[in-house]
Amino acid sequence: MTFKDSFCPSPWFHMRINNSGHYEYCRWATKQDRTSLPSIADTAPLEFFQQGMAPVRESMLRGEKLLGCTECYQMEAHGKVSGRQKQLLKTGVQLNDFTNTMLSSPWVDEFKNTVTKQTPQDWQIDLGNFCNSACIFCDPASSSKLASEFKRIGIIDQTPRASWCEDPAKFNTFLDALRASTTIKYLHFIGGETLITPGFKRILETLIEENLHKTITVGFTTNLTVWDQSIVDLLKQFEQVNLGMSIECIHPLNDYVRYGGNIDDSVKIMEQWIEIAQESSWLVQLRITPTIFTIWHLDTVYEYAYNHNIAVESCNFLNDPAFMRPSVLPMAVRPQVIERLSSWINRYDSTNTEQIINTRHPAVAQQQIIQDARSYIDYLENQPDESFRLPALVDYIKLLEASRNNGILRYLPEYEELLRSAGY
Amino acid sequence: MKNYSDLLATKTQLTILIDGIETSAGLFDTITLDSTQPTTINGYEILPKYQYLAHNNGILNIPAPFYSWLHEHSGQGWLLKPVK
Repeated sequence: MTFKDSFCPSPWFHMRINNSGHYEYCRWATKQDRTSLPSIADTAPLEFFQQGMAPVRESMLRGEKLLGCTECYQMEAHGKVSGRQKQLLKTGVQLNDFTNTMLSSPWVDEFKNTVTKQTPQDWQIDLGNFCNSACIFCDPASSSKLASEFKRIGIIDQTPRASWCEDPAKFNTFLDALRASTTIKYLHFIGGETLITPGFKRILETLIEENLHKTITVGFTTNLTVWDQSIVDLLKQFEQVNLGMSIECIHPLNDYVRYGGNIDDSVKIMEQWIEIAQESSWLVQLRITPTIFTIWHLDTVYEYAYNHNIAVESCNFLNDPAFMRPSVLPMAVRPQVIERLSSWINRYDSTNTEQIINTRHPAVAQQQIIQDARSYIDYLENQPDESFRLPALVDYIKLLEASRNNGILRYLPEYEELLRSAGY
Repeated sequence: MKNYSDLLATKTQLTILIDGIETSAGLFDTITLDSTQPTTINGYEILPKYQYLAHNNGILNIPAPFYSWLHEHSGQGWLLKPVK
């Protein structure tokens, strides 16, 4: 293990507030017990960032690999651009010239401070679980609709508490921290669904009132099921907006997986966003979460993105729920998916180029999409077979389908033999 | 290199290749180039790729540190800086 393979600068300029109002050191950190960390109810955000994250920084300097960073290391193993690589780039560091770029980084001296006086420049704000979708790979902490359904069908006993940003005291604590963080460059919001979360609009309004919209870039992800012109009008006032649109495939299977949506309506809303983004020079990405199901039609979303010159990004290779991972696909079935992705890549210029780390750069969007598709091929070729999880997957979808009165084979008849073999 | 201390102890420099002739400079040196001569620095093409950044007198000045300049001009996005 070398320092180059483990070090990440993110803890020196980034933190996260999760859906329950607890702090985390990174937006890419693996899901652990997300309610055991300090929260906005008991600790000021800057106190957590400056002092509470010191042990993470100490580990980084010692060259240790943190358990929470597992998903980034997994992405790198398959040639997918990791969160670590993106955060390194924000400090001027690239893995292909690590020593020189680290020693030249504006942060090289700052890294020695494990208790820091810096304030976050890049924040991820999870606004709570208000959501009108119930995606099959999601969880109650991120979707109120799924939480209600889980309770109704007996998967959980209690639904999560109301969003932290609906509590005036916690919301004001957050706003105070924003005002005190004079160096904020980027705020990224996720839900739930951001557009129906009242806190999102209130934060945008506050940023404008405080004149911070001239210096802060706002990023957010939306599920393409709703439109709120008043929020669009607020966003248009910001100097820069990074728009993420969640979609899994341009196929009716999207309706099964992202339950609550309709693919035709989602495409219409997506095109509305793209038009506004072009007018306003926003950066746009399609946000995907490939599962064992949607990886079959993953080429359709790449094709759409390629034709519209829009980057495609997933936060990780899905790990949780484990039975939904693409690696649950048996080795014997994977060649068919690999062939679909390879055929798609081969339609375009598939010359290998240097890895693109700045995945938001519009000039390289098409190359980035091919790079992402290649990482999924590598994953399918090399990630160990977890088909022993198929029975758990079948148990789960049978529960959901009984509640929803739908069936996967209507959307994905290609999987009939596979699912029947596991008890479907 | 196993940790941050090892990194700080590492000595390195820039290798500049101008029209086939090799010279060197420190990581934090300012570099002045004749924009008519093909040049690489540590293997990165600088000229003619960035000739458009040269002054009218044909001189390309690269302010230190070289890697921050390269980050900015090669489309790598934000380069955040700590507050001193």
